[in-house]
Amino acid sequence: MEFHQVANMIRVTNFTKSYNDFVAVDNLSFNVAPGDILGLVGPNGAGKTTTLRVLSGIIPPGSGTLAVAGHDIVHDAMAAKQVLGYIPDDPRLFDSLTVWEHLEFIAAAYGVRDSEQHAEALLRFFNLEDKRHHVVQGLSRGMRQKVAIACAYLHRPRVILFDEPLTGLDPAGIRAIKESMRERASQGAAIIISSHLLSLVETLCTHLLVLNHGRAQCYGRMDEVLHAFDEARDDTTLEDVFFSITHAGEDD
Amino acid sequence: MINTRNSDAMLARLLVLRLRGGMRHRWQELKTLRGLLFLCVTIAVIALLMRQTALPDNPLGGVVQQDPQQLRAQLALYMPFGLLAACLLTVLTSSGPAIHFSPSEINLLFTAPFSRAALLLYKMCFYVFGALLSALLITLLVPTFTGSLLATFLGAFLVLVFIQLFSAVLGLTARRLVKCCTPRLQRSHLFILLGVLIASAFACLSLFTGNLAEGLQLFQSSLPGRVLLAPFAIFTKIFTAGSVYPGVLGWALAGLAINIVLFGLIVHLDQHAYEASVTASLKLHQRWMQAKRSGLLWGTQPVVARTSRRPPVLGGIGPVAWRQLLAALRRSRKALLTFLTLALLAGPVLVTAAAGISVWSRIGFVFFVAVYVLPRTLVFDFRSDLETMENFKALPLRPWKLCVGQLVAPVLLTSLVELILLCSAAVFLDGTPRLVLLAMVPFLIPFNLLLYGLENLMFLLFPTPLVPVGRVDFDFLGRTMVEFAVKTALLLGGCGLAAAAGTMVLEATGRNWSAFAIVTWWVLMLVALLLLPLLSRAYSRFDISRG
Repeated sequence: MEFHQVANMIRVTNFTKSYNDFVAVDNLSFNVAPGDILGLVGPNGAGKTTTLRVLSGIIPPGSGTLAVAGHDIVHDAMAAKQVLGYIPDDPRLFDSLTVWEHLEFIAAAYGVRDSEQHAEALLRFFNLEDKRHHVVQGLSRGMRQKVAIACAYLHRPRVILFDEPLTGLDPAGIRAIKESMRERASQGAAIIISSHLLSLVETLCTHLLVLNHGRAQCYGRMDEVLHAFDEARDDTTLEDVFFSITHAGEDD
Repeated sequence: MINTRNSDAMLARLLVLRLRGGMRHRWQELKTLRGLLFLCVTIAVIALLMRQTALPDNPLGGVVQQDPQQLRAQLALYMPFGLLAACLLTVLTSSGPAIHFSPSEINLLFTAPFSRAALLLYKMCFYVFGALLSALLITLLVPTFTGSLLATFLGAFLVLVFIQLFSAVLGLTARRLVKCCTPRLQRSHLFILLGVLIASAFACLSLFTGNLAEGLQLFQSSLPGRVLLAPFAIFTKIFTAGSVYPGVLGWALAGLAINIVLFGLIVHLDQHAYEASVTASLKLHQRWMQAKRSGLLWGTQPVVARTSRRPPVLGGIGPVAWRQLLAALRRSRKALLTFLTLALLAGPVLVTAAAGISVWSRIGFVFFVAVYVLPRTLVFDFRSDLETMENFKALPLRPWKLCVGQLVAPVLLTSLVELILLCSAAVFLDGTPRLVLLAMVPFLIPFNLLLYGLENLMFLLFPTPLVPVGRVDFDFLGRTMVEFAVKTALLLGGCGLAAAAGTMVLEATGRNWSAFAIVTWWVLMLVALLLLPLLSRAYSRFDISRG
């Protein structure tokens, strides 16, 4: 499939999602350009996972427009999903399939031709070569996470959504995945990382979106946000910004 | 430091709190309209079954009308063997420990200063409570062969506890034997060997005497038979004692004493299997969680598997169907083999051995197995994918393709089981009945497509676990009954429509049976295919955040 480059690979405009009376996301708008990594942070229940799930076409939006690589996620869902990779917070894999069969399944489902070489490379990269014939149910949480990420990378997505990507990973795994994120971004992929690990977001992301109670509290380039928070200081951290914006520290 | 009395009191307190929590949960369910409705349905069906079993022309009720002496003699002959078989089967089919603990119990109770005996007693109380409820249900539903409700209740209760305890003792003893003698020998091998030996002994006796009943009698009266069946004979006597006092109560006391001794044995043997018990408990819990999703508790799960060939694409249908077929072959191999074997054996049994039972009863039995048992056991579709629905939703696949892919495995495998049943029955028939059975073969695919389409449609509209939560899950029981009734009505409606169209063509073509079969097949297939848009719509609307 030919991909056309668009200015904003992810475009979210006035997006709202409610569950009965509870408004999970309220009038959210943001964009992510190719090569950008957006850090999505916020306290529990802020609407981060809902945003990612709607963007990946798993649940329908309430209102607003969400587009992936120029394709509307509601009206042109198949085209949007074709260029999208989503790694949920809890990797729910198919219990009875082996690691390699997962890659085979994804290759067939996305219509990836000549996927074998790429799949082999991914297994090597994530140190999963000796687990190739293992049924995933028996793997550790971290291994399963690596399999989920390998599956998401297999069809070379132009948009990648990570929901708490480092949970359960060992230090080597964390380094490998951070490295892979930078590499994918440098190749032009637009990435969103939702995480509570503020240090990860600060070091890896080019842009920041802070959500609280479903609303965008802060959005912009990472360096600009940090600088704007306290112009007098050079050592402002994302943690300072986060607690200041969300007032989470007041609960303690 | 917590002394024994204190620890017992704390565990008793926990037991009460958990039972209260369970009752609170049920009460919350009952307060909803759905819960109340399902409770009413459950009670109505139980009442109907009780009335049915009391009717003289009912097959079961009819048995009650027979001579009580003759019935007791039959019970005395067959029941000890039945109990022995139940114990062996329990050990063989259980993959977990003799007495299993949940992960929360392992985390919270095993690390607390409670003795192992206190924990086992605590767990036994749960089993006893469950056995009491089950015995109550059995007493209500099963006709009183003994002529006394008290004997049925006490007998059922003590027998259920006995099977649990005796199986646990067998399991623990076998584990110890295997550990001491032959580390390479599997525990299951030991029981299969024992089962084969006993079955061979019965077969030899039957051949020797020319009659199974006589063979069993001969074995029962022999010294090894008397020793082997002694505990089982005591529990049988609770049912056959006749008088309440001293008969039923006396034998019930003896049964209680046996159960207490068995519990003591478990406490002793368990000391040597503590670590294995923890590991096995966690494994069993995983299986239980799996069963909640897929409805299959006795599933298999290999650690390493030979990677199969690359899936066919077929526009996206291929990988979905391929994945479900692989899951079926890996996770449900035992269930599939069991059903295929039973189908092979059931054909001749239904045709010849069960000649005394009416044709309609046999058809009803086969219908129940095909429409309820098989779909509840061969779960390789949306129903087993509630937790992985997120993955499917993220795939670039159109809903109808996904739905077709999901239905391929269950439809093919169920049709295979039914095909073997029909063929094995047809071998033992001649003339028209054989032709009728063979003519049914082409209809298996459209029928099962309709059946699984309905199953999945109901699941996507009202997603619920496939196994009950606890023993008194009225919501589950009621829901199952309602679903079965709705499914049966829709299935019969679909088949009726197809048959009506076929009959019209039959009349119009001057009784051309080929035309009848072709039109009926196509209409049935059309009805089944009409479900696909509904299924696709239900899948598209399925919101995983609410599922």
